[in-house]
Amino acid sequence: MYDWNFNVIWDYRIVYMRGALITLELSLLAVVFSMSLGLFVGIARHSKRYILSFPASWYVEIFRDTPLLIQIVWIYYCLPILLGVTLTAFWASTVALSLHMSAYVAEIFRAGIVSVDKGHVDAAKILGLNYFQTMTRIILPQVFRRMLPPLVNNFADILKLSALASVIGVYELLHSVDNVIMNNFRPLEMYSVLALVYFVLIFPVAFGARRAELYFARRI
Amino acid sequence: MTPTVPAIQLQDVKKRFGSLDVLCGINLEVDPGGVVCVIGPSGSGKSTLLRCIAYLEDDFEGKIYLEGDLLGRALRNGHLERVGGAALRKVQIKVGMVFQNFNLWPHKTVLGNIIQALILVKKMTRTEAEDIGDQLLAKVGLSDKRKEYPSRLSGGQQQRVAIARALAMRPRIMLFDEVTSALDAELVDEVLQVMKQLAEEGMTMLVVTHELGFAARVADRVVFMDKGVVIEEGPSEKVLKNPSQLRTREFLSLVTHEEI
Repeated sequence: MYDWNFNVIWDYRIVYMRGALITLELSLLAVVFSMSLGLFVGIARHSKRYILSFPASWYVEIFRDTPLLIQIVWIYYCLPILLGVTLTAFWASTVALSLHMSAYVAEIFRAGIVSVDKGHVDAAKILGLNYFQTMTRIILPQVFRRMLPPLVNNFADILKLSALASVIGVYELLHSVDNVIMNNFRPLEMYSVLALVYFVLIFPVAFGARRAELYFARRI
Repeated sequence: MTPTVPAIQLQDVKKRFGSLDVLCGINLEVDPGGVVCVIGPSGSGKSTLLRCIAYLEDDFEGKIYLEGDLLGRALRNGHLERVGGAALRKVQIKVGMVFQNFNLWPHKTVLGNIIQALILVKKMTRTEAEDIGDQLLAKVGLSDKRKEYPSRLSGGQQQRVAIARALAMRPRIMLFDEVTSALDAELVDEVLQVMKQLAEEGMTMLVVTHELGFAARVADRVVFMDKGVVIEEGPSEKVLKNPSQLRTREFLSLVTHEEI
């Protein structure tokens, strides 16, 4: 019979907190970068111009269809060899996670843009709004509301996937906890609490987004 | 007397989607202040005709003149070339259009829908734009709905907002594309009333409609289209009551039969 001992956890609370801070930092940067990049790639992919949609399609396929783990390793170890660019482990992970998730964000944006009634665009066109105005005032505001649920999924994914940064030694949550486990030999307790910490980080955002969704649903 | 320049003039306008010829050489003129109703079976190209005049379809053949200005094309060395940008906008802005499905922007209020283009395109301040918006809402009888979202309005109210939105840009020509077809029967009249008022104020109107009663009461001329061709055109009284073409007669008897 396994003898659970959660008492040891309290001694390592600072490890969890530091790890959570790095995980949050990495994830929030990745959220911001992947959203901005994904927006452009998504719009480019939706474009009628082949010169934009073709590279955007390949961008999405390359980053979506290959493992994030390898992208992290590749950016950390191969970029210095090929381009002479050296990134710290933290930034290599941030860049890899951002690129990887931007492929998903791009698809979410594209699907959102496609879902907007073409008549709304016709109305904007005939009233004289240009492409940029139509995109920013008519299409994207509608798209954002519809994209909220998939974007929250994405946020949860990013937070959990950031654990992969541990393979190149970033002291985010997983790596910090792994380190401790080597000393206290309490992996089951440590991992159980680790799962709880991820939950605590993700749940408020999911909850808030759900409330926002209901708020918008009441308005339109 | 100098001949007046037609508000709308189409010369041999053709439009195809893939291998399908939707417009097969349309010639049409609408006088300034004239109200022309376009009738015909579905799939006859009526809506496409309006969409070309609104330049929502841009790859048509032939020439479309709005108040004498060539729409989206320029003649260079005897060749028709496509133009965009300011040269296109200058002509396109003469046209306002109202759609079958209203196409109001659902994330904006009634007033927001009307003033958006005034602010973005005409560079008005919000106050100036709201003044115009309020005047137009009063005109279509919806002043009390200015802060509502479109989804809270009936179809007839939404369509009146859409008309107000189009009028805000002060178009010289209004295109109506089956604007009552998506409405419940009891809501049709309120929209037709606004259109009738507009016609009486002297707006040039090209109206695709199935409302033959409206065509008879308001239109100066009626155009009957079938399969991308204008079959018959003339004073509304003549075309609706005493058409010269067999196909027009067939269509009219079919439609009036349906109305019973």
